[in-house]
Amino acid sequence: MMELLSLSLLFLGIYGLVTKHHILKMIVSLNVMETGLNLFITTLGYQEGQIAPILSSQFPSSALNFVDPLPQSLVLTSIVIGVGTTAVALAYAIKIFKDHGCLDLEKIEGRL
Amino acid sequence: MMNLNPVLTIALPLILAFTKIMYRRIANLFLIVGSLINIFVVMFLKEGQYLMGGYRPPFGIILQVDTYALYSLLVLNVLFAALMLLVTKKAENLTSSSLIALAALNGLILTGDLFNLFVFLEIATIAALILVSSIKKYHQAFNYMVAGAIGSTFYLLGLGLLYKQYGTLNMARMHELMAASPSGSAVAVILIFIGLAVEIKLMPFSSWAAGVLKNADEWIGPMIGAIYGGVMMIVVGRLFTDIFVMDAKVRLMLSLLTLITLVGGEAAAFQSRKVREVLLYSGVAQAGLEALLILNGYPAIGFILVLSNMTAKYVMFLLAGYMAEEAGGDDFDRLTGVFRSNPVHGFAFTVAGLSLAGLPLFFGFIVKLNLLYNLMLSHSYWLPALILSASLVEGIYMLRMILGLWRLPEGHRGGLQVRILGSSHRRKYAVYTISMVLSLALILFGLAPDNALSIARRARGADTDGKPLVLITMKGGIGQ
Amino acid sequence: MKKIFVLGLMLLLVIGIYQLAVYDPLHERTMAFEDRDSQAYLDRSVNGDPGEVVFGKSTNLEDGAANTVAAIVVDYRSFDTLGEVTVLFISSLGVAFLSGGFGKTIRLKHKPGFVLRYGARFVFGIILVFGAYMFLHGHITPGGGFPGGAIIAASALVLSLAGEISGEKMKAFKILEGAAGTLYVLTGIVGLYMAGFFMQNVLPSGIVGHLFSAGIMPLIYLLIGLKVGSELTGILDYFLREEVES
Repeated sequence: MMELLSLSLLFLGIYGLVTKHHILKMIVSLNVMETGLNLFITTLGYQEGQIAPILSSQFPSSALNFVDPLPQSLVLTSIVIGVGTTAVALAYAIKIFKDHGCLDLEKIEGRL
Repeated sequence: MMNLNPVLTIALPLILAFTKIMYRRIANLFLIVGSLINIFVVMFLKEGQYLMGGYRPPFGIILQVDTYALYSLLVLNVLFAALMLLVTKKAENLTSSSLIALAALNGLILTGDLFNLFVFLEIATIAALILVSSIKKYHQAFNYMVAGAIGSTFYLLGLGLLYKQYGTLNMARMHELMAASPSGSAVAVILIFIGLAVEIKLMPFSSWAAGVLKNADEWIGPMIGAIYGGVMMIVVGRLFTDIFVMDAKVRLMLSLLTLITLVGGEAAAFQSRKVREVLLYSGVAQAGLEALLILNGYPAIGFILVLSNMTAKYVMFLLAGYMAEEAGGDDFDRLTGVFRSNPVHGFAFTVAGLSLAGLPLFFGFIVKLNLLYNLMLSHSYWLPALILSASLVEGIYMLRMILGLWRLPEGHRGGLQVRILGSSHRRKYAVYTISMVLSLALILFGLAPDNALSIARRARGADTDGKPLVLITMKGGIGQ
Repeated sequence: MKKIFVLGLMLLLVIGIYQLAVYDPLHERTMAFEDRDSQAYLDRSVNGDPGEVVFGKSTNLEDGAANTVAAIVVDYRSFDTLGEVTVLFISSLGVAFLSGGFGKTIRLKHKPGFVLRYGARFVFGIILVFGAYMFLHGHITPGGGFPGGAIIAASALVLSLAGEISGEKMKAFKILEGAAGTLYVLTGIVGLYMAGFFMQNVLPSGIVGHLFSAGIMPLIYLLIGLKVGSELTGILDYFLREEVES
């Protein structure tokens, strides 16, 4: 179920990217897409009843039933990459607004 | 004999990029020294697997140096360093981004881990975005960013599915497991191909390239059009011959995409009346052809076609960028006769263009000859016919463009008075030298192709679906 | 019309991908967790089997972090993390390049009052310490360099909202950013020439679960924390300047 929901979120983001032409809405869609992807990858390493992969005094042994830690670390990387992309995208938005006075890509491309 | 670790080709540019923030004044020096040192490191690399952090594969990340990676790295680093020597003035504010782009491109070629590839892909894309923003077409760059983000999302989605099925990220291990049970991986492989198709400019996903490269200057053109395109194609060549196992249906589906690109690209290039537009659409068409070869079991010829096209397009984009800057535009009409006043540039441009179109005497011809011969040997006829007609179209528009640029405009006597790079002598001779050396290399390899072809076969020929690759060389006609 | 078409296409893709690749009740296309590569990370058995790893007891493991995700991020797959840090670095460069660099001072639209200025200084210290705690304990508890760095950037944001960050301080952040990045790569190269592999752990790994354990991991998390903190601060600062200027 989680997989289906996160996939839907991912493609909802792509739907937004394809249909919207307001730059800020596109950036929001970009983030929705990334979140969906990150959730999806996290679900790949999870099964019912497993515990977080951190040894502690409560769960002290490696023989316990831990979740798959690799997807989680991949998601960590992917989140950081998403932050970087969003920052650059926002800087572009500011720059485009300064150049054209609006944030509507269709208007901008029509005018040029 | 010195034996250097390939990680240096990634780590050294990174260190230089990080330290550069503290020493702004000598930024250019950093850039040039960094890219030259990288050539030096690449020359002393030895083939083998190099572990990261001392963890053995498939658990740790590895860098893989084989013949394929070695020659790709060599071409990449030489072209990159040459470009940096030429455009020092423009690169001044973008030293760190250029160095990081170099590190990421090296990493893309070297890495032996699928997720690590994704990380380098992202670094390369963001670096490219920043470089592209120097031509001040921000909404085009934004389109590029959106396309790239969707592409990398698809790549990671496909990779996640593969991980779920095979439980590994290491390329070699992935190949073993996939060869043992390929069923069920088709969706993931298609997703990954679509993700990379954005970067290699296959047709429905390549609209960003038109926006960026139409306005490219002498720096962005060679960088995005030639170097990035070539490296991404080399990555596709590795993934889709060495790693992923596909059944015939998937192969056919993906090939269809590349065929659309080949036909559509040539048609768009034929219609265009602008130099850079012709170059970019012919690049799109060539990307389709290269991907087609890689998917259908001719990776060796695909590889050598990638390298020769990379060099030829590099020269052409470079000179086109200069011409457009000097003449204030790149319509054919505006540039008629430009080579009359710049014969050396004209010569280099002509050689590169003819080699790209696959005319005799040049390297591109040898590659296409080998390709057609091998296709005929394996009794497929519609594919060579298609490639031949595409080459014909390409030859026509390429010749039309080149002749137009040489022809005397009506009413003028001495040709168009546009001097490419009239201002600075040092730069002028640098452009002369580099474009001449590269185009002479295309002629040289065209006259004596034996070495290049045998290297390509060593790099890629081992795994062409059991079909032996027959090579036409100059020595004894046909050798196997 | 176009929207409905695209929505339909997306729906089709979701269902198609789910049905063809994800939905898998018989586990034909899902590798069992204990057969995946990541099991070796949980057992710390990549380069040899140490037996059962017990919290607070096991010593001299190949990786001494109690937090397995952190162990993967900064040790087993540390090379990815270097790339990740580079992504942040280059996006901060990109924001700087696009917004035109230093030089303008921030002039806030509101006038920071007494409570805001002193409150900000007070809160700044607390948040900073929490961020430092976060990345110093990254190998034992959830957290690590990236969230720690983000928290540090939040503390800097509080300061700049109170008008307390000047251009000089930002230059210091730039230098910190460059130095931390350089040191990170240099740690890797030290590993290469001291132990033979890039980014190899050259310090003893200690007892699992102790603060001083896991070799160079706390050190690397410290560098990552500083670098991410200064990078995010830089990005925020550029955006603040932009906003005020127009």
